[in-house]
Amino acid sequence: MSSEDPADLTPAQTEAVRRALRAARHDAPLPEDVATRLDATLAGLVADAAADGAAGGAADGDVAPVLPLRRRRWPAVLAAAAAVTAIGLAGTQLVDRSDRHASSLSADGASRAEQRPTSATPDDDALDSLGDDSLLNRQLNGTGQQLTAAQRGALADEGYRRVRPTPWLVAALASKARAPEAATAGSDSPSPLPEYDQKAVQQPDCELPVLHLPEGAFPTYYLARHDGERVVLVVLPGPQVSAYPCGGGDPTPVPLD
Amino acid sequence: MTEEQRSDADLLAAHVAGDPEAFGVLFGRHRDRLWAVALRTLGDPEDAADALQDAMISAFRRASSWRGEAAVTTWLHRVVVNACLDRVRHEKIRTADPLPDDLETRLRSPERSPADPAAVAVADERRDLVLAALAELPAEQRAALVLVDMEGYPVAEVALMLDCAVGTVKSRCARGRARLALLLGVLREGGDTPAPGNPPAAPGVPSTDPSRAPPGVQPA
Repeated sequence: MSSEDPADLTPAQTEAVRRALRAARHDAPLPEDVATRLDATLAGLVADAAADGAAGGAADGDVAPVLPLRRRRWPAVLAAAAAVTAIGLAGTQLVDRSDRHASSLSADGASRAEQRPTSATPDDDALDSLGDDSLLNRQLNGTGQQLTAAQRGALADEGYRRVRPTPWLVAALASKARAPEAATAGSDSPSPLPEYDQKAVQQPDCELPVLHLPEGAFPTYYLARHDGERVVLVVLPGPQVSAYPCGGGDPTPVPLD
Repeated sequence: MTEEQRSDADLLAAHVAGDPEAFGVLFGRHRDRLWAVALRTLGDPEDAADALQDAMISAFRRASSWRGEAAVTTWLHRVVVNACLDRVRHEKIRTADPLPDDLETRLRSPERSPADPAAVAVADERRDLVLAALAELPAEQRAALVLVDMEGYPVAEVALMLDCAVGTVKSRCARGRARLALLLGVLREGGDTPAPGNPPAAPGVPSTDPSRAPPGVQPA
């Protein structure tokens, strides 16, 4: 008897196999983290298309302001962020402010976002209140330094796989918008956002690198794998990105040309 | 007419025409099912997510290639399955690897709390068996079975999704089922649903030693 011969199975046996397959069907919805990642990717695609002048076209140039994602997706983004931000809020109580890093999270957009009163429930209004020029909006809509298709190809050529945007910064800022009472720093005090971010982005198996960036720089963070190891890609204007090992260590410059 | 009321074909046409929101609405309608197909075809959630992302990018950029000869959903499934098979063919994933031990833990929806823990445990174990066996099949057979038997699409539609003849789909399904039947013990069970746990012991192997002749008789 050959196991490859379909004639081996009786109708009852065939039905038994089909029944077992039906029972193993996956019927849960798309996981939130995957949905968030697809939304971010789609935003980048639309940005590329807008820059290219026509939907469906690929563009490798600078991205342009794009449409908001579907409004009903926003609460999902925030919900996905909530677990991370809970850590972040606790972290603000513990971290020495002198230890803050000069990341882009002290940008004007983020500061404005934290000053706007918003609902405690993640909803469309909360996101709308962030304003069109908020860092959150820039991150999500791809007006930061989002990787283009050509740059993704260059990373793939260098062995970087599973490149995906991370919602870490979204988490930090969205939580900030929902909990304005946590942002009580006055104009003469250091902004709590940097150290808040420092804690908020921690994940059990990966840690955001501490960056020393000039004021006004807007990095975008991606997760990727290289030689089987998880890395954080930090994307800034320029011909290369920096790949930081999740377990710590010096970054590796990766050319994007 | 709101976006929600527009047909799939209308949304795809609008996207090609430059509507920046149309594709998001279209893809959002179907992505749960596309995810299910990718997940069951590849087995690993991370690989499935990568494939789904690749497929979304491909569909976004190649929307103008849709000519209306098939339903938009059929076309989307075709793009997703192609992305999955591409990943397998290019050895972006190692299909020979066993499914991760915690696969079902990762896949199981947390909101579906068990009504009967014992029954759910048995069902989960059965599902583990099926998924592990499915992972043993060639990717083309796996895709055909996922689309036909798991997702319930008609064979003719699956032929369009897989870009092959109807007979090829039937053949892949039949061969895949035959292989699964062996792996799942359906043949031993007499056609019943495979049971979890260790399979029954195989019959003893007959001795190959020559039979003993009665005393005083010389063997031939």
